Amino acid sequence: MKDFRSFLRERVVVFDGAFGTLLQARAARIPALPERLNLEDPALIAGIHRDYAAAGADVITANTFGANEAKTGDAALTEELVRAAVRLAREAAPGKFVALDIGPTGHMLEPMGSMTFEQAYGVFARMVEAGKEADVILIETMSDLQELRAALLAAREHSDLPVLCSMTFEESGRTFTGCDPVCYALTASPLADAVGVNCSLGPKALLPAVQKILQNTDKPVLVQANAGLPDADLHYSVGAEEFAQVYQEFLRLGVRIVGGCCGTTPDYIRRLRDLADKAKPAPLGKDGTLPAPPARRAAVCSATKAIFIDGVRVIGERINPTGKKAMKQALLARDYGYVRSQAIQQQEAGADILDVNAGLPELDEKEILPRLVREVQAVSDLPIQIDCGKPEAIEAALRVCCGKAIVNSVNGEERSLRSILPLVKKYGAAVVGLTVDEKGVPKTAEERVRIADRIVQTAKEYGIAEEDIYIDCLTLTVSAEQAQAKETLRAIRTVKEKYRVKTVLGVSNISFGLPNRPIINSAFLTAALFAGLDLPILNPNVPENAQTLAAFRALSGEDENCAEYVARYAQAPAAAAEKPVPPAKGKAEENAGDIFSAIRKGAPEAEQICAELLKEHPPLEVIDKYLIPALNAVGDEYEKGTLFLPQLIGAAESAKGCFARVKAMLPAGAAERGEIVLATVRGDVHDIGKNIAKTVLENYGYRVYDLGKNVPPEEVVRAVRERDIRLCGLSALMTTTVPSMEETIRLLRRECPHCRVMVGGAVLNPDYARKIGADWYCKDANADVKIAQYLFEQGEKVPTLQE
Amino acid sequence: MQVDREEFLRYLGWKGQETDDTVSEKLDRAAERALELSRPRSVVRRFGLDGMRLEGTDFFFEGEDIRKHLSGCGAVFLLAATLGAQPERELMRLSEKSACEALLFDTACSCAVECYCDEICEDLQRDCPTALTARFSCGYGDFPLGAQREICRLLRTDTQIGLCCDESLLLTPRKSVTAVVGITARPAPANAREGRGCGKKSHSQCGGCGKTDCAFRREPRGKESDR
Repeated sequence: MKDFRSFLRERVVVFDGAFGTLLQARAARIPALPERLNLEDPALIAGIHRDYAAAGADVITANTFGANEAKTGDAALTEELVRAAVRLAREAAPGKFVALDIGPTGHMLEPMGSMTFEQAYGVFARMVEAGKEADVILIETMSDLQELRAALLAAREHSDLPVLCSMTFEESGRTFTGCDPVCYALTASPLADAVGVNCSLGPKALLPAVQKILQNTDKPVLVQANAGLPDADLHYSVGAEEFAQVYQEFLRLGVRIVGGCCGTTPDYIRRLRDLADKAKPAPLGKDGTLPAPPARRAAVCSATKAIFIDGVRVIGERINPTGKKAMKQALLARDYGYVRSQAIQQQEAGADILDVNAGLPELDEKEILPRLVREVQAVSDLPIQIDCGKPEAIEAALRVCCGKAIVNSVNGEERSLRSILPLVKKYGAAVVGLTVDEKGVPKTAEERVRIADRIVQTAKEYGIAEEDIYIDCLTLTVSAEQAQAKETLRAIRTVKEKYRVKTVLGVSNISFGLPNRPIINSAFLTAALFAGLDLPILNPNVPENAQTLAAFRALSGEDENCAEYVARYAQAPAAAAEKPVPPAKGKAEENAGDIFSAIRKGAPEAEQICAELLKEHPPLEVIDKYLIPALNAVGDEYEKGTLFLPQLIGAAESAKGCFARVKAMLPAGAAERGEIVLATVRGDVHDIGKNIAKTVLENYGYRVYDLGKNVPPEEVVRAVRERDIRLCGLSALMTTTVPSMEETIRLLRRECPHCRVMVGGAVLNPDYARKIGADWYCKDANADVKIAQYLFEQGEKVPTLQE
Repeated sequence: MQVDREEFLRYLGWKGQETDDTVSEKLDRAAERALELSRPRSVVRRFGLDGMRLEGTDFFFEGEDIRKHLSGCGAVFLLAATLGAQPERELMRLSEKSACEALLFDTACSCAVECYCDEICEDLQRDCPTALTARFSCGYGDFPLGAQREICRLLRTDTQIGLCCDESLLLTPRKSVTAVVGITARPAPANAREGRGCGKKSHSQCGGCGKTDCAFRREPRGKESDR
């Protein structure tokens, strides 16, 4: 048998056309799982393959599109269907290549759905194993980039066959899950032998997506379009001739693999055969890359956002426990809510890329780092920088990171380069190279450039392009080693002159030990930017940093006509001023009345009024005499029905700012009234109720450990046990996920008998809650508070369901 | 597609409480954002009915309620609709920022997807010479939630509109609907806008539902106007 990779090297390859369309026309009845026909009516399946082979297809796609076990519900059945399909295709079309066809699982992956990356990987891996007799693997009609990544990695790691992949795009130019063709090309190209598009729309409508892919990949591109859109009787709008005309354009643009999707027939494929026979593309390189790939641009991406590094791009540094007490505490407590909020804040403050770091001796980075990546990607579409030097942890994070990430970092040491660069290459990441080696940080710019050279040359050995290397010339503390600031700047300049690499630099270290650090930081940042720094790593929430960047972009011409600068600073005062505080009223009663009404209205002014109260009262008194009574009053009104839910939550949120002010004046933990674990149970992704409960409880001063949604029972038990938690709240929305709640309660009873359990969710009622073993049923968030007050503060008794 | 204010308030559990501008503005913002981020997509297929089996498939409707609902129907439309992934992503982000904003946005999206389904059904009725029944979704009455997976499979919602049904039979993106609409032999109503869905436009439908402890059940009209 010919080898598909060498076959592809010198010609345009023709795939077959639609399978379902012919099946629909020829089968009397199609089972819910159409792949069953591989066993039930093999002659029908073979007939379709034969017709496409006769029409001139080089590759016959086996009837395995939906045969994965997530759809069949049975691993053994999957194996049987896949084997039968590959055999049928082989026998029906001798001399042709046979493709194992892999479609989506039909399940949504985390964070949007409940299927984990590892589950999806397992489903695909077993399918790849079953389809080993094929000649090539085609992963197609994907709309979730993360699911595609799972399939690509499974194919790569479970076979040596060539792997082609294809996503389906909407008229908007994105996939259903919002993936952009550029992000797709950047992410999938390193993992695949060819990338492309299929299904979706008619061929003409796919042109823009195909062009974007062609501009951002070094791999051959494939197109298998629909014959336009179907009408109610499943007639498609684009005929074979018109179809072939557009494909002529595809070939002219550089597409090298063609075929048809829904609505196409052997007639369409015959015409593609003619086109392919006339085409004489330049041969691919030995590594299967294009003979004349588009000029490479430095870029990283998530599934939905590509960041091209053709100007200054900011890497947000906040998700790193080093020297940051709150982040350290959060990571140790596995409080990922804090991590997520930091991601959102940095993005809103202008970060382009988010650094994630889990470097604490108490933490297993291999476990925590991928978790951080997932948490951040759930709430932010920014690309990720994986900040770690341990190959195992880096790989664990790269696996789950959707998009093209940066690995931070390698250094000039042989051991570092040889263990990390292969991972960078495999996952198609970019990499930060620190100009330091086993001898430490060199004192001169020349020595740092020499290390940079070693990094660039070694990376090249692995096939990593210069554009994907970001050199860090290292910031040293100016108060300790004054001459070094200039050396760093000189090194940046030289590196940028000599190579096509980008430069990255953590800035704030420069001012360590000096007073009023932002002054030094701004000046050094400005100097570094003019020396050629592309990627400053900093805190984007610091106004001076944002100002320096805005000013630099105006001065360097990146901010055309200074438009951004003007938009941002035209209205702002020259210096950062404190928020104006309304004049104090002096009288405590007036302030008390004001804070009641401000909280009741959910108005942000509550925080200012609270600040006034704190001038006259001790912090704990403010909590006990003003905040809690105000919240209680709101809670009572809600219960009586004079306020409704948004007003209750609005009040809780306006109290949040007040609590923050009070807590800032107290030693850590002094204002806490009790610790509570909350989780939405495994299998359930509806967490709005749990989030409301969290907000309300937190604003009564309880410390809430929010484990998130789709949480396995073991994880709930672990969190409860680790902190000896006395109250745990579980939420489930669906009848189908209540059993998972029951299982969690059972495990809690066994492992943590002291912990009480309250439950809530749309399908529950007191009776149902009692049956599954809960202590309390919460009809709303206010009920949670009553229970917490009873349990932690001798509040009014709330009888348990089991009493 | 729009977010009907009355529906929006009903979903939020509003029972005539006094609201101020702060609340009003929040509601407006949430509704605007929901419409801005939604990319509504739907897929509808017509199937003949052979008893309670969909013709050309091995799918049966189970449950007394759906049987009653489809009595006298010779065919049905299966319908799946979604607002897409963007609202879902926004909801995850808002959940981190503010529970209140998240609740309002979530609720606004629920209104939007119901409204979108109303519109689809109105279009179907316009093109259909005989009357259609109200849409009926899995999980209501004794129509098993498990049918949701079959409907998604028959409509190939994963590749057609990006809608998935997971192990727990949940739809993702969450702001999505699957439903069955019966095609009766009765002549089409003069005003196709009436009698659809389970919301504002269908007072009688809501009252006829067996789930009498539903938090969203519309109270009899008289009581409402007393307030």
